[in-house]
Amino acid sequence: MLNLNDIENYLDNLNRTQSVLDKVVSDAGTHGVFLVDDNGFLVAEAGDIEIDRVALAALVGASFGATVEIAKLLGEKDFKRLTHQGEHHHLFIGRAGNRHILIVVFGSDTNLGLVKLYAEQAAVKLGEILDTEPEEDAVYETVQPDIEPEEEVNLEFMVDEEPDEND
Amino acid sequence: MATVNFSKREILCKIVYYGPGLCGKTTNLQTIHRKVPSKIRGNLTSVATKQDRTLFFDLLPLEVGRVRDFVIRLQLYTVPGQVYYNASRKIVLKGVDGIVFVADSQVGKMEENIESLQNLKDNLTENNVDPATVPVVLQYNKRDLAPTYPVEELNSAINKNNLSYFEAIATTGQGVFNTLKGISSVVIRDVKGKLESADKRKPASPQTKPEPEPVAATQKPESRPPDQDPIRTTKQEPITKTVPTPPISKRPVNMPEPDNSSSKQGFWDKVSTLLRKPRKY
Repeated sequence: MLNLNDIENYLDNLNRTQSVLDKVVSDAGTHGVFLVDDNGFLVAEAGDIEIDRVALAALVGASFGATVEIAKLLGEKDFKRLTHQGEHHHLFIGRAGNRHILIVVFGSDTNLGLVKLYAEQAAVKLGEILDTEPEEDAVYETVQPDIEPEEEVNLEFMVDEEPDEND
Repeated sequence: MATVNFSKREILCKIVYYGPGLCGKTTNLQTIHRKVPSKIRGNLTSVATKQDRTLFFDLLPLEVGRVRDFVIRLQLYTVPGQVYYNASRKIVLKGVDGIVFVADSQVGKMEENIESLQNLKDNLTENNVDPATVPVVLQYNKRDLAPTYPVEELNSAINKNNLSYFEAIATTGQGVFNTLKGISSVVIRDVKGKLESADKRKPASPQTKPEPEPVAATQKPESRPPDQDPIRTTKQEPITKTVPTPPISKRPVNMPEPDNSSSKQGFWDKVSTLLRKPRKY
């Protein structure tokens, strides 16, 4: 059950994923590319844009989830591609496989058609890579370290103090 | 289900604050954001209406330590409490690892508390999650806004399964961190169990839990027989200022005999080697 091979395959997949994301940045001239899972957690990223990545992943994950529900109202399974247009920055959001979402941040120095072309190609490749991975439960089964988290996890700051005087 | 991200070497846990409208979910996160050192927390992100009512969710990331090479990050979410926004609540609940149910202690709010708790169970079920498998703690908020229900009355109405509960005044911070510590301990132990072995992923039984330690008198609920409430009981894991020693893990029956030359550190050494191995693409 201590299956290091599965972890190695997982890491190889992550590297293949990274190469796909890097290619979108270089070929389409985008500012940043992010891969998040359906739960809104950031999985991988490329590019050098300064942004709160945790918030971006959570917001896009939730927003994409909302559009899935809207799609269902229309009898669709989901909306596979979304675009958001800003003044200086724009977003392309697309489904990558069954469990992940690709986010491309780009500016007015490139055009939407080019971004869509490369991003859609990337989404297909990412789906091929990521959908071969086992579901989360199965990944857990490959990892069996006898860890003692509480020894290294500090929860002591989570103890109530006296209220501030100005509270 | 917590997410293990091997490339970023982090374990991500999603904790959702759930409860009726205006019960203080967002105030909990605002207080935590205000009082926690900035080096271990991220930004507080809120998707709210112009009247500061939560429209979609609030999000606060927290870093609580390391397990070997992996950083444990908690992501605290709230849901919109208003009945109208149920579709949004269901989306935020996706992938949840632990829930803080924030109840409004004020007299007259009991029906809303009960409705919200039932709504939580319904939404988990519709997300294909068995409510009995999700760690939950309760927070009885607004204890300062008299008249309030006695704790015993709140327990008998919404804590039929003897969950851990905490009295709180979220606006001042009282009880906020004890609640957070309560759910964090349970969630981290839950994740640890999942990392340890596949056959421990089933709900923990009292036999596998640590011996109860003394808890503060004001936080200790009366022991009452469990009823049919499907949400998992966490009362067997009392919350104290000292994190209890985790139970000694049992090796799954289908695991090979341990190799004495390869300790648990050896496994992590191998994982670390894999993580540091240069990979070309």
